[in-house]
Amino acid sequence: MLQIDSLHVSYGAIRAVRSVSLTVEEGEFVVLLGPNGAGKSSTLAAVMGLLKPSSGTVAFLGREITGQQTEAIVRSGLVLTPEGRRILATLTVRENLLLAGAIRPDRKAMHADLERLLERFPVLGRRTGSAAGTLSGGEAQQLAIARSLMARPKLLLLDEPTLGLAPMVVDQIFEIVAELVAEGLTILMVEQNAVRAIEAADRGYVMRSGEIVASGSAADLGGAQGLVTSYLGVNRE
Amino acid sequence: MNEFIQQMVNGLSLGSTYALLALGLAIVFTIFGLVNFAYGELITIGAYTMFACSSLGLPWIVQALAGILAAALASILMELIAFRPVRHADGTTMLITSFGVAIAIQAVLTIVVSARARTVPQPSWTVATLSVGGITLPAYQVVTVLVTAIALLAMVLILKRTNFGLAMRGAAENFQTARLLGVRANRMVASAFLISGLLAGIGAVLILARTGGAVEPTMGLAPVLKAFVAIVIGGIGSLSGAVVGGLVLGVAEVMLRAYLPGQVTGLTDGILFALVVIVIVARPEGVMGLKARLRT
Repeated sequence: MLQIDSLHVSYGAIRAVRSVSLTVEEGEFVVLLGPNGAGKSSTLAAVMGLLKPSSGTVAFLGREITGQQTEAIVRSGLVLTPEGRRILATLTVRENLLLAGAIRPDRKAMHADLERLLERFPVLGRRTGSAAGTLSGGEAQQLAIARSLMARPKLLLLDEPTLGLAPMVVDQIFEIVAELVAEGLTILMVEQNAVRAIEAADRGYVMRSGEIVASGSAADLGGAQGLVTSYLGVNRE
Repeated sequence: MNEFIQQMVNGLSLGSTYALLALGLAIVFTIFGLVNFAYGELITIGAYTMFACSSLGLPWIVQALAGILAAALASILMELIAFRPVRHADGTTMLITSFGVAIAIQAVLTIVVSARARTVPQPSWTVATLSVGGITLPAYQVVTVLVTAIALLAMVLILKRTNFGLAMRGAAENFQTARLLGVRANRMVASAFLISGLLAGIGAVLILARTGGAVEPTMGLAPVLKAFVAIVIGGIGSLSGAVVGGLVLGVAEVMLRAYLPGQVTGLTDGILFALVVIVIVARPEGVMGLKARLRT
């Protein structure tokens, strides 16, 4: 479904992403792990056309999308829930959802989806008319995910959905992601919480200093604990 | 008391023109991140289009509509030709580009028409007066307030009630996030310039009604400066702030001119700009800017 091939991204002289290749098949739940600054978010930003890759290609549903406008990529069904949630704070909760749904031609189904999502996320259903800027971190993350779902994504990219959230709220977000996976949504998730992420996912890639250093299932990566000591631990070098 | 009310209406009329112009400047700023100093030249283009139509003997209403359309078209072309190529450059590059565009348009009008002021004859209603409850008001002032109120109301309805307006508000808050929700960047920027041009065109018609129809190549400078001051007062980046800033500025200007002692009325603009410096120093976020910041 998504195929990234030898992707390079640079910020001036800093090479943030070096020769990254990865694939996500339909129905899969894949995680992209690695320490801070490994290039995970830069990879997603390049996929979405927010950053211009210096070389390499990205293909979605068999068509190359490298260099396309972000909005065109979103409209083709590849949707990013960005790091830091990026809620439009001056709009209401409902307006955030409506804006995301505005790209769909099926207006009736879109409004039905909106009502369904408000039921599914009761914290949002209770606050539809409030400015989104008044939501707590966990509520804002739910809005960010609900907003992405309004676009009816074929592939959802989740960038650090639990960053900065309280442990109980983290549980809640992992539950939501598990539900979406169970419903058949294809997901590529970047996550700091590596142990939990790899246990929940079908497969994972580990990035370090801009490169992919390992990939496979939790077992392939030496178990969750093995993953941490081998690739993410601080004592390795 | 009657004189005070007359001055107040005059202030509101001038202020509402400033509010309209400030809104046009603020819309492009919030979407595109540029204070477009060539905005004044959109007013000039609207005015010169009216001048051309009047030379052809066309009726005033046709002149006015042509002026508004010309300003809107010029605004779209300005974005396509001058600003789109430097969209990803830094703010200074865009700002200098806007000065370049302004100077180029002034030069073309000076060469093709004349450096000297010309006159667009204004219809008789602009010099008529209305009597309301014993108070005599110039008709153009009342019309200005009404036209501005309708234009602002239309803007509010578009922004609050339509999908397009929703996208516009989203893009104004965070352009990149809006794109991640599928908002088309090029279309949004072009729309911002279109609305900006329409407002500049309406402004041009109202300014000519106020000044008796004088047009000259540099006529856009004073209004763009006033519009800029209005958005600084209101809090740069806030659309409602721009409107409030325009009204405050217009009323302050008229009141200072009316009630300052005769020897210092010439200093009105000086005093206003000094007040703006004080606002910038004391409240860099503007009068309404604080609210805008809390919302983001």
